[in-house]
Parts: sequence; structure tokens; C-alpha cells
Amino acid sequence: MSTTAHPPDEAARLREELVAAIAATSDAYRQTSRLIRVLTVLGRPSSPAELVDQTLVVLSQIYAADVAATVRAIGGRLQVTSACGIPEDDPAYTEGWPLAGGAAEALTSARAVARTGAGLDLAVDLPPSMVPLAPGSAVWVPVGEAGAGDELLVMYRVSAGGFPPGDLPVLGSVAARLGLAVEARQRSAAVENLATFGHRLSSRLDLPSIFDEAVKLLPLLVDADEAGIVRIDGEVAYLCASTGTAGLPSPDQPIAVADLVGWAALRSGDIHAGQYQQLGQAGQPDGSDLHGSDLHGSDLHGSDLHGSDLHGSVLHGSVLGVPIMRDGSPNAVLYALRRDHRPFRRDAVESASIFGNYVGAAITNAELYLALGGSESKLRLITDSISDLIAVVDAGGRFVYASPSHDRELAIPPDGLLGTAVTDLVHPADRPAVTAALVRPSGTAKVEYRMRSGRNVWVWVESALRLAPEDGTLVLSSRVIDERRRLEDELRRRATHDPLTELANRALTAERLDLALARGGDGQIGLLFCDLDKFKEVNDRLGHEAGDDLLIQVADRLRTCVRPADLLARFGGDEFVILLDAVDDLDAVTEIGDRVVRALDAPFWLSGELVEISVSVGGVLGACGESQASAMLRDADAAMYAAKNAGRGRVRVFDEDASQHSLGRLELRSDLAQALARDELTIHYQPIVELATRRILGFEALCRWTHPRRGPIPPDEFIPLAEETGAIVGIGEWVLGQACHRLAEWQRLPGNGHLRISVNLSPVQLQQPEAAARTLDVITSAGADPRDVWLEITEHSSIRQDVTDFVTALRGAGVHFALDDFGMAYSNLSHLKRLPVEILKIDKSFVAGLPAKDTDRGIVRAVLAIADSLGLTVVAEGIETEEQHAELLALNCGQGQGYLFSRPVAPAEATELLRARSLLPA
Amino acid sequence: MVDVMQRLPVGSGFSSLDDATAAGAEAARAALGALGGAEPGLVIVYGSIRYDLTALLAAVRGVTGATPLVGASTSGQFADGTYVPAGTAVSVMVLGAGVYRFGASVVTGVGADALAAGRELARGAMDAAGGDTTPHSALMVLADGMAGDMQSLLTGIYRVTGARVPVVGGAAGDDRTFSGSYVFFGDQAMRDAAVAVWIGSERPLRVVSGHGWKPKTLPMLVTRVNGMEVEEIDGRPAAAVFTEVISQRTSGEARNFEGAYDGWDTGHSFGLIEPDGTQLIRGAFVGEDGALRTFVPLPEYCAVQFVSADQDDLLNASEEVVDDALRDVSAPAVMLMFSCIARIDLLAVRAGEEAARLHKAAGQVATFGFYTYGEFARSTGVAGYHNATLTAIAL
Repeated sequence: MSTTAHPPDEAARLREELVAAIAATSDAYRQTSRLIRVLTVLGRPSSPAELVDQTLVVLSQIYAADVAATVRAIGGRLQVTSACGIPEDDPAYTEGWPLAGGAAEALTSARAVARTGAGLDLAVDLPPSMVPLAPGSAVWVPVGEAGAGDELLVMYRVSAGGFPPGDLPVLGSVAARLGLAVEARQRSAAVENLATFGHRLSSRLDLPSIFDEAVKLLPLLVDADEAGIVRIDGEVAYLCASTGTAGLPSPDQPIAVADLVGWAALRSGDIHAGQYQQLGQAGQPDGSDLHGSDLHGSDLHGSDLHGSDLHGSVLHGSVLGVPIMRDGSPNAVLYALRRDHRPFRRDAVESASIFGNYVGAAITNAELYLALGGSESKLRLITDSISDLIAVVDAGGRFVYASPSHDRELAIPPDGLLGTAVTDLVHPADRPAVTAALVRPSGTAKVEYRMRSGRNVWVWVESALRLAPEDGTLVLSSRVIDERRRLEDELRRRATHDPLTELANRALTAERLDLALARGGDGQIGLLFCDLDKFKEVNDRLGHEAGDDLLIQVADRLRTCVRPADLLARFGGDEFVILLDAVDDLDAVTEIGDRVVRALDAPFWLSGELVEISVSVGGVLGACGESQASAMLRDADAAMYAAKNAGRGRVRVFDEDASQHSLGRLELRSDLAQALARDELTIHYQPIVELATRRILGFEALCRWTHPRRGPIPPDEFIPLAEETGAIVGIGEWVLGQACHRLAEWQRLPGNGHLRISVNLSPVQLQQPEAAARTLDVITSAGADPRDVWLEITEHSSIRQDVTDFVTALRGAGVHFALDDFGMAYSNLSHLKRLPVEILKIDKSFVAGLPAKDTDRGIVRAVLAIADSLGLTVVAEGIETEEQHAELLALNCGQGQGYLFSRPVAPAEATELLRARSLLPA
Repeated sequence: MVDVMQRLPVGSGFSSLDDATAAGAEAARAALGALGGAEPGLVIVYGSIRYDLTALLAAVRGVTGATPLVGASTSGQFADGTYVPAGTAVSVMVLGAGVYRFGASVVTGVGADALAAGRELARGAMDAAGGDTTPHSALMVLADGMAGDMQSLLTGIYRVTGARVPVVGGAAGDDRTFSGSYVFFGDQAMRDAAVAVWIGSERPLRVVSGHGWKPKTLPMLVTRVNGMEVEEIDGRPAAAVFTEVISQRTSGEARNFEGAYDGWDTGHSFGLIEPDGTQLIRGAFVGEDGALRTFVPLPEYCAVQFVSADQDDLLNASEEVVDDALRDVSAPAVMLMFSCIARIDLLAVRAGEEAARLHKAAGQVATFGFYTYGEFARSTGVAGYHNATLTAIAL
């Protein structure tokens, strides 16, 4: 209590001052509160649309705005994109109103504009339908970063109180933040979509379903109404798939490429983003040529997009065209359409571009898959070295002549064949084919069949038949293709089986799963993902051999758990997968999972001791005709991780918890984008040696990632992720630069002037624009001589034509090329001739089988023979034992790498190895 | 068009009979009788939850037939100067047809998604009125306010109607038992629901509000909110700040709510500082766990002042609301009013005075209203949910 007495006028003055002070404080608090409340909304997790809605509601509240809206300038008009205070059915959302007045001024000056009372022109400053509201004041604020463009935040107040100049900077800041926040939300939504969509595309292996999937996904990705895809065939294009049907050209109806929307840009590989009007000429991407009534006439509204088509005639709205390139020109074009004329912006263009790459990769994959199925000529090179058998057969199908080579190749003396019916020597199962060929030789190109040899064994023979017109006899030109058939079978088996356990591999499992799911009906498919617990410990403690032995024993025990119709597979490492055909419910899946866990209960006898091991099993149930293979595999994998986390030796079926693991992958994906910047990547170097002398010829550079929380991430986990996200481009260039820099350093050590460096190149890197020039630039900038650099490309990527261009360009500059992992993919030998490749690297899985396995030995020998005939050097990968080393030397293999010589080591250690000059046996 | 409007025929009735059927019929007959033979266009029913509400509505409908019926359970009613305390009676108002275009709708699921419910409610009412065809319109909304966030309901409505349609109404009461409130639609009494009446008009319609509360503190920022719990004010524990404010009360302005919320000091509330410097009132109470709670979430970082009022402040404000509602309205017939149960607590023994003073101020214009658990008056911007306030529309 104050004891001081004030005169009455003094008290009144103090009271007035107090009231004024409180009012000022209230005002200050309100101002502060405004900004914080908007920022709070902007920081809250929400979708882009929710974010805008919530912000407008808050703005309406804190500014007492009767209307708070976002509007966009499109083709000289304004359209409401979101509003608080404009009725939902108002034409301001759909038809808009002419861009003029305060809005035009705000957009032109890129600054907030406020108008009040007489300054407000109701005829131009607001949508016509809002005139009855009779606003007394308005403010227009550009959204997004300064100068970003065509979007405004607009507020109207019925009262003429106005928006004082002091409010404008705050509103400017709010609108800028709103724009950025929406953009960030859209970007992260796009990244998530891309990740999911890439996965969905890559699970498709036939072209029609890739096209269907692509046009289904593209509108979701870029917020479009419709999508379509056309394939280019020379000067014409064909529509392959679209989200609409009516009014579009049928799939067999050619469209001249020149008529395709945006062809001028698309033909050179650029994305086309633009506007189209009713009569069909291309507009500018900014829509500036679209002013005027022709765009806003009655044809714009209520018309049916399906009545328009993709080749330039009756289209209206915004269009985005994405070329899918091959051999420097578009192989296909993806189109996305928006009916409302909102232009496609940078974010949509970027997403669509990445998506286009995914579609291109999926198309290539599908074609490879097709090629594998129909490959006739794959192993032609091998058979080329085998002499032909020539025979003449009469009209009755009997030998009248047989060349001497029959004796050598089939152990049948030619004379003994004369008068014998050809079909008598043919395997009963192949007789119908041979008989048919003899009857209609002109209709048969070649026939393959088994023939009984003089040693009484069946031998595979391939015959070409030619009719001699004079006398009706047939000339059979044949060759023994036993070796080829065996190799083909083996390669095919390898493409579908795990060599260690003889179980199905990932590819075969995916194929079977796809087949099973495509079966329709209401059947259900179960999938179990089994991962051995602490397998790595066994490997580390008892060695790789014991580890392999364990895997074989586990496979044997698992075989006892599955039913005849089920498929047991090994996905590599210690991951086993069981595909359960026709299961009733998740309980049945769990039951078999339990059986798996119990099957491994008894200890294993390894390297003379009993070892206990357990397994974590994740299960998932899929419905035929509904579930997707990729999703099932992902979910089962996630469930397995959940099982592991729950304490090993358990079974878990997929649920929401397990799906967290899927999120974990997403997280890993985003962490990877930062890995380079955060110095989490390192390069290790593995020596490549001359096998005869163990002299170091060079190093292979291998990228390693140590995650700050998860520790080392295996390359076969993060490289595919990096390829999916595109991060591989930056990582790849960094690795190449570092490795070249290191090479230049090492070459300065005495006696190492000819040292070479091998660096892996991802197919994704090859698809970058200017890939060849950029790669060369990285090499020379690092101070390396291109002639000492070996780039390793995989067989998979070697099939693309643009790779040929890339390789040819760099080879011209001196860079050498090696084909990596040869034998693992499609073994398409014809590509070896097309590419200036100088080294073949034999995959370690073949080397692992040496010297014990005949098939591996056969393949290694065959590859060495092919390489020799083409003048290629062979580098054997994964040499671990002296026996393998000796065997490779015996097979005349010149170079190799592997743990026997050195594991991949850090740069300093590599320098020490170089100083020691050679690598002695461990 | 303004001057050619004819006067709306209205009639109200009331019954405190114990039997629901008898009470409903008596109140409805009285209301219809007072309509003087005009064709009924809308029936509004306010009832105590002491009645079997289904029987009550059936009895009213027995008299009023198929005329659209909306209503709410209450915590007391008032009509033409008479205060009907909580737990006693049913009041019925019948509005004549032909002057305004009425369209009634109902929506459930307010608790699950108030925003979506608001949209559906507004669309339904507009459609029932044959669309937004008249030059002016307003929406009267009655809702089960205990079911969900009432401001979100209004935000949803705003999406559909836009700024041109003012909203008036109130959240249903339950005789201050907090056992659950109901809205009425046709012959149904529903929870977790809201009803609305689209009022299409040839002349402008205005929604007004007033409360009489006065700021007692300097402005403060609400710095942390967790749902209905206010955790921090100016970075300090909110309950402590609130208790300090209450402890400085002067005699005559403090009252405790009679009923379920012991810690509800109805003499003090939050006043959210509005853009024009006025206060939007939000009731608050200290729960058994010592936490400060509100009946609707406060926005985080909103600027507030604590407000309080004495009985004269409240009663004067009532009269001002009437004056405001009638200003520039030609030939008004009735004022539909919605007053907060918290005002009754503050008025205590003078509770009946509000109804009388409203009636006196309104002159020839009928007054009809109920005591609510929250009031609607949306006229500027999207904000329109109030506490401890009186809202009104003159028709």
C-alpha cells in the first residue's frame, strides 16, 4: 500500500497513464502473439493442404479477417487455391477473376499492398461473388521467397479499419514462411512418394504393367489429373497406357512424333512443361501467351479431359512431358495433365524427372528379362569353336552321307550311319520335333535334340536343315551343343539358385511370389523371412568355411519344415525365405515359423564342436490378386527385425510395429543423403595382383559407410539405396576423385609409376547428363592420368546403349573399362564385342567353387576361353585360398584379388603394402 | 427490400408439468396458440433433461406436426421476462412460415471430427433451405458442446458459408449435472451431434454478443497448452498464476460454480485479446489434480488478460446486447438469445433479473433463450465461440 497521497488531478493523470500503458502492452502482446501463433501452426506436422488451411484459420482469427485466402495468378486471372471465409462452391475457386488492382500491384512489386476505404476498388480488388460482402479493407501479400512468383495471401475485412503499414512486414514474413513451409512439406511428400513408387515400378517385369503402373503413379506424384505414356518408334509414337480412355488414339494408331506435345524439347531429352489451349498450339511454360478469352471461354469448364488427346490437337490445361531417353533420343514420353491450368513447377518437374528415370530403368529391366527368356544367341561364341557335323538325309529320313566329324564328335563311324533313320538315334522326347523338322525343313530354322552317341550316352545336338531342290534330300548341318546346354542350364540355375545351398535365390522367389499373387481367386500366400541370430559370430570365430557349412546344414534342416508346394530360398548372407503356397491364415504362417525355430533348436556340429544357433522369423500373409510381392517381402523383412528386437529365436508376424523398420529404411535413405557432407564415408583399397608374382598392379577403390548410430552399413545395402535416391551420383564422383587423387600420390612412390586404380561406376551415374565429360573432369582435376584409371561397370548396365556412348567417349580419352561381376547377370556375350571393355572380372561366387566344383571350373574355363578369343584380360575376384590361386594359375588366369592377398585396407595401409612391393602368402 | 418485410409471426409456450408427454403437449399448444393461426415454419424446443426427451419431443410433434423442429437440452431457459431455472421445464417457440426461408439439418460425430461435422451441417442446412438464394442469411446452431471442439465446428461451417453468413447459437446444457447434453432434431434427441437452421432473409441479419467482463490484469501470454489444460502462462505454472489472480479478488465478484466443478471460480475467466482489443471469454477452473483447465483448448501463445465481472456489469451488458441486436432492424418480432450458465452463477440471487431486464429492453419484441455451456456468435472472421457471454439475433 502506498502511503503517499496524490492530489485528485494527479491521481486522474496517473490513472490515464496506466490505462494507456495497459493498452500499449495489450497491443504489444497481441502483435507478439500473432507472429508466434502463425509460426506455431507452420511448425506443426501436417500435409501441405492442411498447413495452408490451418494458417488461414489462424490468420482470420488473429487479424479479424472476414476472408483469408491464398490465390494464384494463372493466365492473367486469379484463382482461389484455399480460403477461410469464401464459400466452398464459390466460382472464385474455379473460374477466378481478372488479375488487376491491388493483387497485380503486389505481384509486380513483390511487396505487400494494403488498401482501405475509397482506395479499395470493389470492381477489381475482389472476386465478383464477394462484392455483396462490401469489404472495407484488403491486403495482398506475395507468398514464398521474394520474387518467387504468382501466389498471394489475401485478406479482406468488412470494417474499414485497414491493415496498418506496421502489419505489412509481419504479414510479408508470415507469407514467406508459409510458402517455404508448404514447399518443404511438398518436397518431403514427393521424396516419400518417389521412394515408394520406385519400389513399385521395379517390382514389375513386363512392359504393359510398367506402363499401367507409371500412369497410375505419376498423377499422384506431381498432383495432376491425368497421365499417359507413349512409346516412340522412329518418326511415330503409340499410346501405351493412360488414366483415361475415351477419345484417345488406340494403341495401334500411330501419332507423328512432330505432333506430340512439347516434342521440340522432348526430342533433345528436356522436360516440357507448358500450357495448352483449346486449339492446340504449344504455349510458353509461364503461360504468358494465354491471356484473353480463348482460354477462359466456356470450353475451359466442364469439358472432359478424356475428350482431349496427347498429340497436340484438343488439349487444354497444363501439361508436363518427361522424355525417357535411350541412345540419345526419347524411347518413350510420360505426360501429366492438369485441367485447371496450374503450371507444373520446379518441384514437380524434378520429381517427374526422377520418376522418368525409374520408368526408364524399369523398361530396361523388363526388356532384359524378355531377352533372357528368348536368348538364342547367348552362348553362341562358345559353340563357334566346335566343328560342324554335315549329313545328307533322303526323303525317308535316312542317312545317305555323314561327314567324318561324326566319328570325332559322336563316336559314330560315318559308314555305320548310312541307311539308318535319323529319328532312330533321337531321344524319344525329342522325336516329334525332329520328325516335324524333317517333314517341313523350310519351316524350321534350327532344331535342338538329344542324340545317342557311339558311347551310348545322350548328346545335345543342334541341326540346321536345308532342302536340296534337285533330289529332295536334306542337308543337315549340326553341331554338338552339350557344353553350351550345360552352361546355359548352369547359368540359368545360377540366376535362380544360391550356389552354396542349392536353394532358390531372391530372383526366383520374387518370380514365384509374383506368379502366386497373380493367380487370382481368394487364396492366400504366406512368406517367412528367417535370419540366423549371431551368424556373424560363428563366421568370425570359426571361419568362413564353418559359416558356409552352417548355412548348408541350416538349409537341410529347413527343407524338413516346408511342404512340397512351398519354396525355400536363401537371399544371401544368413537370410532364408520360405514362400508358403495356399495358407489359411496368419496362424498357419506362425505355425510354420515356429517349426523353423524348433528345427534349429538342436546344436550344429561345426569344426569339431557343437554350436548353438537360433533364428528370428518374420511372417506375413498376402492375398492373391491383391497384395504386392515387394510389399510382402518388405513387410516380412520388417517383421523379422521386430522378432530380432524382441529377443531372438522368435517368430513375429507383420504388424504396425514391424512397419517401423520400413520407416527405418526411409530414415537410412535420408541419412545417406547427408553421409558425404558429414564425413561418414571412407574409401578402402583392395590390391589387384599379378597372380604369378603377387605383384600389386593396382587397387580397387571400395566405398564404406559408417552410420553414426548403426555403425558400418554393408555396401550391398547402401549402394542400392544411393542408386534409388540418386545420391550415388555425388558419392560416385567423390569416390572417383579421392581414388584418383590417391593414385597420383602412390604413383610418386618409386617403382609405382604404372600403378592403376579401379573404381566402380553405378548405372545411375552413367545416365547423368554430360556423364562422360564430368567423369573425365573429375579424373583430371584429381591429377590422375586417364590411362591409369579403370572404370568398372556391371554387366547389367553394359546393356544400355547410352553406356556404349559413355564408354566409347571415355575410352577415347584413355580411360580403361572392366566388366564387373561377369557371369552373375545375363551373360550376354554379344555385348562384350560392342563395348571397348578390356577386362572381365569373374565373380567371386565362381572362384569360391574352385577347385572342388566341376561346374564352376567349367564356367571359369569358358570365361577365360571367351576372354582369350576376344583379347580380354581376366581378373578373378574373391580369391581366398592357395588352392584357388593355384587352380586359377593353372587355368591361365593372369590377375586377381581377394583376401588371400589382402582385404580392402585404409589408404595408409595400402601405402605400406606398396612400399613392401608385393604380397606374400598370408 | 428492407422495408417491405412483413413481421414474423411468433408464439411461445412453457410447461413445468412433471410428465414429459403432458409437458410437451402443454408447451407446444401454448406456443402454437400464440401464433394466431399463422402457418408454422420452425419449432424450437428447449428442455430440461429431467424429462424423457423422446416422449417430450413426440408430444411436441403431436401438436406441431411435421414442421421442422430443432432444440437442445438446457441448464435453464428464459422467455419474455420469465426465468426458468435449470431442471424444471420445457419451453417451445414456434416461428411462422413465409417471412424467412428456414432449412434445418443435423449432424453426428462432432467429437470425432468437428471440422468435417461443421461442413456437413452447414451444407445440409443450406440444401434444406433450397440453397443460398436469398440476399441475406444467417445460421442458428445448437450443439452438444461437451462432444468436441466448438470452434472447429464453426470453422467447418465457415468453409461452406463464407464470411457473409453470421452464426448464432449455443451449446446444449444438462441442468448443470455434466452428465451429458442433447440436441433435438425432429423427434430425436441426440448426443455427439449438432443441429442448424439456415435462415434465408430479404433483409440483413446481424448476430451480436456482449458479456460485461472487465480485464483485471496486465496482458499475459499463454506459453504452454496441452489440450484443455493450460500449463504455463508467461512461462510460469498456469494454476499458480490463476490462483494469484483469484486471491486479489474484491468482494462481490467471486462465485464458485454450484455443481460438478468445485474448482470453477466463475468470477474469473480468461479474456483472449481480440484484434480489436476486446476480450473473447474462456471459462477456466482448477481441477482436482491442481491443473488449470478450460472448456475449449486455448491457442498456444495467445495473448490473454484475466477478466472478472460484478453483477451490475453483467446485467448492463445484457441490455446493451439487446440494444445492439435491435439497432437498424425493422419490424423485429423475436430475439433468439443464448446466455451462459456461468452468468447465472455470478448473478446468484439476482439470476431472474437478467430475463426481466432483457424483456424490458426488448420492448414489444419477444425474447426466447436458454442457458448454455458455450455460446456462438460469429460475425467477423472465423472466430465465434464464446464463454460466459450473451449472444443474440433479432428476427
